Amino acid sequence: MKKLNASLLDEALNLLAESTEDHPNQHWVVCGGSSLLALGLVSRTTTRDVDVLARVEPDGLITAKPLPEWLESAAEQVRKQLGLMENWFNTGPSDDSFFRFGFPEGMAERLIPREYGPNKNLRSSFISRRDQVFFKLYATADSDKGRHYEDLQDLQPTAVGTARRRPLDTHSGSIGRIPVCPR
Amino acid sequence: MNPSLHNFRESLLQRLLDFLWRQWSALGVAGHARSDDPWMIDPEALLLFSTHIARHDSRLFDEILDWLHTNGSWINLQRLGTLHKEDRLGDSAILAAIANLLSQESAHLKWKLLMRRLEKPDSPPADLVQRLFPSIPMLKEPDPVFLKHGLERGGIELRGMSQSPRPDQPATFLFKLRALFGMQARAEVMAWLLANEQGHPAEIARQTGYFRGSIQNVLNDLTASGHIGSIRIGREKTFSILRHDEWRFLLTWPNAGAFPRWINWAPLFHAIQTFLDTLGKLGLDDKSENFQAIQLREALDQATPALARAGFAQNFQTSRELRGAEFLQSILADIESLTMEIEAVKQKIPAANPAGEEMVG
Repeated sequence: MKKLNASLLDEALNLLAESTEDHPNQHWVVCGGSSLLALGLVSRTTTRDVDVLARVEPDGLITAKPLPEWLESAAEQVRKQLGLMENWFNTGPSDDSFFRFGFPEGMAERLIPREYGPNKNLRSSFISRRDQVFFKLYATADSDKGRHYEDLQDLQPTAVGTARRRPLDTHSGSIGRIPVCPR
Repeated sequence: MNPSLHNFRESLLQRLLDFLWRQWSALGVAGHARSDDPWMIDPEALLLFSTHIARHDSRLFDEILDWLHTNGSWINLQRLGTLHKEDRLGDSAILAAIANLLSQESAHLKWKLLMRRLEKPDSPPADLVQRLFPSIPMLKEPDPVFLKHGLERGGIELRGMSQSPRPDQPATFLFKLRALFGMQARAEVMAWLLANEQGHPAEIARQTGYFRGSIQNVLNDLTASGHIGSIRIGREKTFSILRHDEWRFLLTWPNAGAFPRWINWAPLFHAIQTFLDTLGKLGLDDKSENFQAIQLREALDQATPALARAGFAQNFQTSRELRGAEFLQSILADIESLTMEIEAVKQKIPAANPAGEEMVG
């Protein structure tokens, strides 16, 4: 089973897009190691999986759970074809708590979108460096010094870079749906 | 290098059409040289497979209709229905149209039952009508019987050139036994036992396309004749032909060596059809090698149980570990070797079956 490096990540997402061309276009928000790799933000070179944080709908972000069956099935075929780890494309971080308490303010505006597949039917929006700092801090608080802590150090957070105006966006309308500002 | 899947499929189709011509000619279809294949033809499996493949050769398709017009009573319709359902072999609409056509003749009224089982309650809407022969433009008025089943084709003119199956060749061995034992499971059971000498009911049932209970009953009846023996090994009862060599009087062709080989054709055809369907997916040639490999990997997963039932799983050497172009090359080579196998099998037949150990009747 192979871990994903930046090039394999690109290949896997392109293949996932090609395999799901007969289905509606998809737009996912991705965080975690694959997001760091895709944007070249950290020194580590591999990650186990693609962490899907949310699904982008015209009126906002909604939980990515559950993934459509056809997407799960296509991801499994891609896994077999490229020899990836089990659950390489997962919604692990798409936790209810984010949708209850809110994402970092302005996160949606800072998303960095990439398109995949010959017909660009899969869009992955990676969270920005600034938001990675928030998420990695959140993850580090719950674990010993490990991968998350190392990532956080690699991100070299500064007070300026992450200065907050409000603690977290908790007034974003109905629970489970956070508006995305137009780009 | 990315092989052209389209070209591969075309060449595979051509080889399968040649194969079908040879098989149907051995059964009495006019036009081709006599077959010397060392196996017996399974007419039900052959007809079912032909509903897929002969769409690519209208002349073959109509010669098959011609043969059925003369010899349709040799088709075991109950077995045909079972193989169609259990082995998922054959195009239901085409089969229903053939059954409808034949049942218009008083000699083939029994085909009406098959047609009723297969046909959909309503005629398909006009926009769902498909061409029976995709590569042939419609120039004449469509045939009303096929049109009723959602298939557009020109009028049918049968040549009336088909012959009855000749009993002096290995290919028609099952017809010989049907003539001797009747159009029922005991013909297949005898054919299987003569080819394999011994077996247990579950295995014979799997190989002949009948239910285990029916085969068990037939074997019990045959044992009463004193020509079939049985022995219990553990929980399984094994049946065999007694004095197997004495049955060689049935081999009525020149230089007959062994009894014709029994091949479990239905699952083999199903597996080949699975690969053909995948290779025929629209636009597959334009996709990435990894995508093509995914599609063929899925086809391999689907076809593997059928290949195992047919005894051809060992022909597939493709490792699931291979990726992309390597996987493609390997699986295409395997598919090719599978279809070549039904040519090369001639060399694999032993010269003669040694007399088996006799069992107590």
